[in-house]
Amino acid sequence: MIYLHSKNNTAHGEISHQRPFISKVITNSNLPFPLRASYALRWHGSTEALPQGFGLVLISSGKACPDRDAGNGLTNIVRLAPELDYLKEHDVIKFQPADCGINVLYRHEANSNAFLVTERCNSFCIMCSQPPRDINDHYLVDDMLEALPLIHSETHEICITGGEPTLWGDDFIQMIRASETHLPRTSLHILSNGRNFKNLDLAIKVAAVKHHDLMIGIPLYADYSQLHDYIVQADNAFDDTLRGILNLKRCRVPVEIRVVIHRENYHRLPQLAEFITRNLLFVDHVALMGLEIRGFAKSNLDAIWIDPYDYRNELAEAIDTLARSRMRVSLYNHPLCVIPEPVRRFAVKSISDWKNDFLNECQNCNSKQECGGFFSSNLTKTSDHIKAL
Amino acid sequence: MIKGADAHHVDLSFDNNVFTLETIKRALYRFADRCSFDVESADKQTKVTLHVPANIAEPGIDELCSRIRNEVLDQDLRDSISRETANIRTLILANAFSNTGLIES
Amino acid sequence: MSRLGKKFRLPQAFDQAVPGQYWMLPCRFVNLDDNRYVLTNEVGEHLVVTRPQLEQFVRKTVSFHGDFYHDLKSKHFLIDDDSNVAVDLLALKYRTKAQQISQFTALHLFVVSLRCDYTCQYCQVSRQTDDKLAYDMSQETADRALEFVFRSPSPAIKIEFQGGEPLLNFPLIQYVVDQAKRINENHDKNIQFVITTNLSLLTDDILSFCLAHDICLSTSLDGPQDLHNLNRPRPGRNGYQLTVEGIRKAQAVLGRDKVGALMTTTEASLPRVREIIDTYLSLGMDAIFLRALSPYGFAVKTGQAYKYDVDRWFEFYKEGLNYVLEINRQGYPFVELYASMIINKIFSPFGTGYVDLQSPSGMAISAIVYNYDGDIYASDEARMLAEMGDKKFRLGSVHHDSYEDVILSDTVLDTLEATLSESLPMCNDCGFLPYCGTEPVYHHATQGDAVGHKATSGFCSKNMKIFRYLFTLLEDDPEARKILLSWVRP
Repeated sequence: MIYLHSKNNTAHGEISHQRPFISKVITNSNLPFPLRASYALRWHGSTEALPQGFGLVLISSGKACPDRDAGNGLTNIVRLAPELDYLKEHDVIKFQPADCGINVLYRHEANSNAFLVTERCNSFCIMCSQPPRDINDHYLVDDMLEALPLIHSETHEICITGGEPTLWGDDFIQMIRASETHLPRTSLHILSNGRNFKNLDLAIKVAAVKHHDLMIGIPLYADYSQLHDYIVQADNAFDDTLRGILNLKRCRVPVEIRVVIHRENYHRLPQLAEFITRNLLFVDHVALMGLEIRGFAKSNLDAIWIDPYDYRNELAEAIDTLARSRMRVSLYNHPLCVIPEPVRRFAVKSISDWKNDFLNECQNCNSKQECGGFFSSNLTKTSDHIKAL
Repeated sequence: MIKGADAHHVDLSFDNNVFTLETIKRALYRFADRCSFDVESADKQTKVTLHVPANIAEPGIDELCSRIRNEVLDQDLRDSISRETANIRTLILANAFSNTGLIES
Repeated sequence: MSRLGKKFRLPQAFDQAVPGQYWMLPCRFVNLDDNRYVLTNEVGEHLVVTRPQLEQFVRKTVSFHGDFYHDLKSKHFLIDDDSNVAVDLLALKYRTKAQQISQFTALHLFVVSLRCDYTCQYCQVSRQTDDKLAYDMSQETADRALEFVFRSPSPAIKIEFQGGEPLLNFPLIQYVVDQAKRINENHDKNIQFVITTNLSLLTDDILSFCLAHDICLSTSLDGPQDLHNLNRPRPGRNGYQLTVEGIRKAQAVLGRDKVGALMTTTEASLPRVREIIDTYLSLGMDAIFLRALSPYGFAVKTGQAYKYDVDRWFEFYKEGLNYVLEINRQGYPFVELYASMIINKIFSPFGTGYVDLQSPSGMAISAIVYNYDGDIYASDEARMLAEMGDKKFRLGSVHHDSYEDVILSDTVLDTLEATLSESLPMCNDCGFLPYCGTEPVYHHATQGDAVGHKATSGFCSKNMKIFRYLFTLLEDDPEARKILLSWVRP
């Protein structure tokens, strides 16, 4: 588990920022003076001779520190919380002068970097790991647009997630456009419930950006409307989502279908797979996903939990159906030991590194290297069939 | 079923309130390889006379009759389906060939 | 069972449909056996249902929250007030299906010579001896035929060399391959070449040409030595030996997947299906096509086609298919190709290119035949019929007609229209329609009418038996189902 946020940082000397400060972390303390104000210097040298003129100077938690008192002539020196000591060259952070909090917007070492651009959502999924909140959080869009130019140009992939990102309308398009402008070699993965794409205009606008490598991941939880609508707690969601997928593909926008498996839908998994091959053969990827026990999935756990071992037959049949139709299919968030041998080759190490963990049993497992392991949040509730392979 | 004196002729009758003549004829069409028919439609009933080749034995004729009656029932279901789905079929075809841009797989 | 938190609503809260109120979508059914029916929709999705379930469906008494209701809905047999996106999806599926037809001709057969060194009793077309040069295709005819080939809009093209024995005119094969590749530099189509040959004239030079141009070989192998030689007499009586040697040699040079074989069923074959399959196995083949003898050419003249009826052929087929399944159960993947084509039609959203199983008829759409003299036929069967003196399906000539004349000829258009099985009596309400075809040439040859009366049609009766047998296996034998599904090849 890696923390992406902490308030346990301490300021030494005066903080000159009045507003939140988004900046890139660098280690070059010789940077020409006029540039320094825009950067956060990660400083490992002596605290006796701190470089001057940087937007922030970040020193490690263990370092002896100069006097905390204001008036010592130092400005914008921050001693990091221990959990943020990992901050490195190329990372991008947002500093809150009010409470000395730091949000890590981008980690250069991460396998994927996600931008949560809103907490608002038009669905209310019973297993949502990021429960929606109806708040005005446009600052999240501004943060992303400000961070994008600071991100390393060789970054493999970034992700836009929510909430429901399309709720931002034209700002949603602007985020895609900015991603293409500032990161012309980086893949963009967007997670959306797809419902707003029932309006062909929105799909056309996305396509018009001509992003070089975009994929929109859209959940489909059942093969018929009543069950899907119940799971996302929204009437007509099934129809809206399917029309959205059709519109996106009509505009040649790549689409991934994401199926989270839980107790309310596992029994229809084979039928859902068949529905997808019959009706949505043209989508670019299908991801079958285990539950992430956060948010509503945690509060509703007793109602929706099923041991993945108990749906292994449905899972194998579904994957067989999809693969037979030559669809690209991946299995996310399933430890290898609980899934049948023939489908293990579809399992992908998909959990973002910062929230990925293993159990004690896993230490002796020969397949640990190939295994995706667990969400950190899932360690307290795992399959009864975990064993070293 | 009313059996005629001659083993090569068998009469079947169908209630006109339940089955249309078209339904009955459609069903009989499928048995053209096994026998020929006379169809006579009266007020309340449609009478079908089967002319069965001499080489078919009585159990064979019984089976044939029950198959014909089942087929009439099937054709009746088919009629219900085609009556109900005619409009939506047109709608689907119209959608299929309207100019909304092809999806390429 | 635990409940969701209070802010979540129950499943019923999201159900806008009224119990017992739904609308059926266009569909058909056919009885599978005494208790069950196969229900299919316009685009080939299927459900196997019991008689009571079928009644419930049509009479609208299906239990509202049961799996059967959801299956019917998911497979687009009904819509209700909760969702109508099925109409959009069905339209799209229908369109995709129709698109395949609009791709037009992908298979082009060149009859490069009618001459043959064999004297097979059932041969469909040729009996000319080695020295009749008048029966070879000329370069001029080939050039004109190639112009037609490249007018076809299909992005993938297969050119198949047929005979007679095409290797008797090998120089023309070389010429056509070279020319086709040269012309294709401006078209960039995906071209494949196949030579259908008895292999008796196979030489190292021919094989190296095939290797250089990625040409596949397709030959005839009817079974064990005595059966093969009985069916396919050759002066010298060494047909089997030559064929087997040719197959081995070709496999060694080109690779196993480039060498295929077809078998023809005669009356003598009927009791020997296992031996026939064993012959294929021992040659390392991975598939066999258990074919019925078609009622054209010399097969009709010699009375062969009527010597065994559909029932006897089906017993032969069933025994063969069961043996093939047994071979798979023993761990050796081996495919029966006719079953495989039907399985593909049932489970793959894509159709198959097999001309006999298409509606409308695949003639001129899937295949087109250029005879040695430049005459054009709608299918290989149509050419065979013509050799018997019935030129009903002759479409024109490469020498006198244009591509448009041929493709838009009355013969093609009338046949397409007449054979759209959606409009054929008995076919139009048959549950197997999405998986079947119309084979107009067969019905013209046997019943004197391209549409035919299906109650007395051998084609219909044969296919119905196979469909029923396959669906029964799929439903009742999980192991067979697994093997059959492994034959799906999109």
